[in-house]
Amino acid sequence: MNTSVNGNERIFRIAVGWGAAALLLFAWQLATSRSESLFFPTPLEIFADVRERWFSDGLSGGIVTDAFFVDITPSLGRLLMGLAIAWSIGITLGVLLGRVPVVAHTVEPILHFMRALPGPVLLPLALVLVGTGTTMRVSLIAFGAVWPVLFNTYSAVRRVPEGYVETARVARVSRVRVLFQVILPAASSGIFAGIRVSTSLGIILLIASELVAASDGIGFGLTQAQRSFQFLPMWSFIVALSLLGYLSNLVLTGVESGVLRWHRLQMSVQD
Amino acid sequence: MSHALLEVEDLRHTYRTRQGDQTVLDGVNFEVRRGEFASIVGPSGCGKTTLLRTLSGLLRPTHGTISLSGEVITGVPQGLAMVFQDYRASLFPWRRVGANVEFPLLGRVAKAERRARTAESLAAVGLADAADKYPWQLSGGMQQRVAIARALAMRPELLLMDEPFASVDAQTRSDLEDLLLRVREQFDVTILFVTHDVDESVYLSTRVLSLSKAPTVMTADVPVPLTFPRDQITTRENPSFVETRSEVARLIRQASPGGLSTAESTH
Repeated sequence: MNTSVNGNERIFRIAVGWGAAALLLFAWQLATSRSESLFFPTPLEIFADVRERWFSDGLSGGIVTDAFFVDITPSLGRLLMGLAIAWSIGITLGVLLGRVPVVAHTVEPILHFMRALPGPVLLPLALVLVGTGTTMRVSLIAFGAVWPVLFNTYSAVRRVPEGYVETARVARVSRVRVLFQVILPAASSGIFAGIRVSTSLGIILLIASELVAASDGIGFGLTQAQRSFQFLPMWSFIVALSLLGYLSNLVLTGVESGVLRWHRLQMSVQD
Repeated sequence: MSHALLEVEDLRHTYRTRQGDQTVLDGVNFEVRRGEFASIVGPSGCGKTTLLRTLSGLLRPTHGTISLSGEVITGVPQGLAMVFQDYRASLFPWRRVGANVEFPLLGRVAKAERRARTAESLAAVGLADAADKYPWQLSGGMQQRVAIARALAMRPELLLMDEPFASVDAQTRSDLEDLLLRVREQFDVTILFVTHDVDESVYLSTRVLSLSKAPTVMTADVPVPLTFPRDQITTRENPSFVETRSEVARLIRQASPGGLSTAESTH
């Protein structure tokens, strides 16, 4: 085992990745600073605006500004709530479908039909049904983000080797423990794949829901800036959005690599 | 009144399929007494999987009774452990070896006792040092030893084994056979062992039962006149071994279609 070589190689790869990103930023800076166009501020201007707008309150003020609580926090709350609902419903239903064939046969066609509806299409309906409040946005995120979790859980649970379950049953292990200590761990890598996809879907739906009848949030800020021809803030909101996506992915990867450490190691052994 | 440890009476099972009813077990009768090492052999397609599933309580037979220590079983009974053929689908890859062995004891046995039993069982199968490894870091033979250790940690009265050594190489297989005979002495456990290897059944057992093709009945009950401890070389040279081996093999051949009639099988 020469882990040091692998370690060096890893550092090298990370350096190349960040180098490419830095190069792109540099090219962007160069191109925009030469351009006269109002639509394209330079990245340095954008980052200065992001900092000024949301992170300029200093250490005593808790760093983040009041604007942060109007522009960013509401979006974060909606996203987290929507995803939490999507994940709990998706995992619960997915396990039920995977373990109880009668349920699967009964509701699978309905579920496939509902999944075929793109989330944003339901926006007008959601507006009519649940109004313009947080409930509308959260339920839209939940509805759109539930499918990948549900179907990934369903297929992962179905693929759990029956031997695991029988081993536990012969050991007279209770049904609850079979669920939490056998079925869910055995299906966890599939469930996580669903959670990742649902998170990026959730962000898309979050913004879509905030474009309509909103008074705060990233999507609202974005359209407001655009409608009032404030192109610098518009870019700042775009950056905020990409940061949100990047950070949520970082968190998920962190949790996943902890929970699924055994899985990753096992895969590397079986290569 | 003293009961045999395991009593199987007129066990029948019929699967309902779209092609019609399919009878797999057609009146199986036998008993296993405490301390015995009974092997069940039969041609492929005999109902041995169905038989084991009914014995372990995973499958409810359509007819007949199974009693463990005199009690008719209705679900998975207490005092029973099982070692499956496919250790890959039986050891949990997310639990380390020690945690796998401990798993059936969780919530039932106090922590200190659990630790002690885990250590003792792993030591008995020669894997005392492997507790912190993951099962998939071990060889196939070692994984099956972990499965045996897990079964032993449950302190079963009856250990069911479903072709446990069918997926390891020949040398490992001999080692596992001898290991099994050692832990049988150490833990004083009664074993019902399913295999389709006639040599293995005679080498390990005190008694060999043979099954017919489905619809399955018991076709023979042959005592093995060999003493313990057994030895891979000398036992297999012993005339009694050779004789018993031939007898069982002949019975299995007769049990194939056109062989022994079911009338001769009742004992």
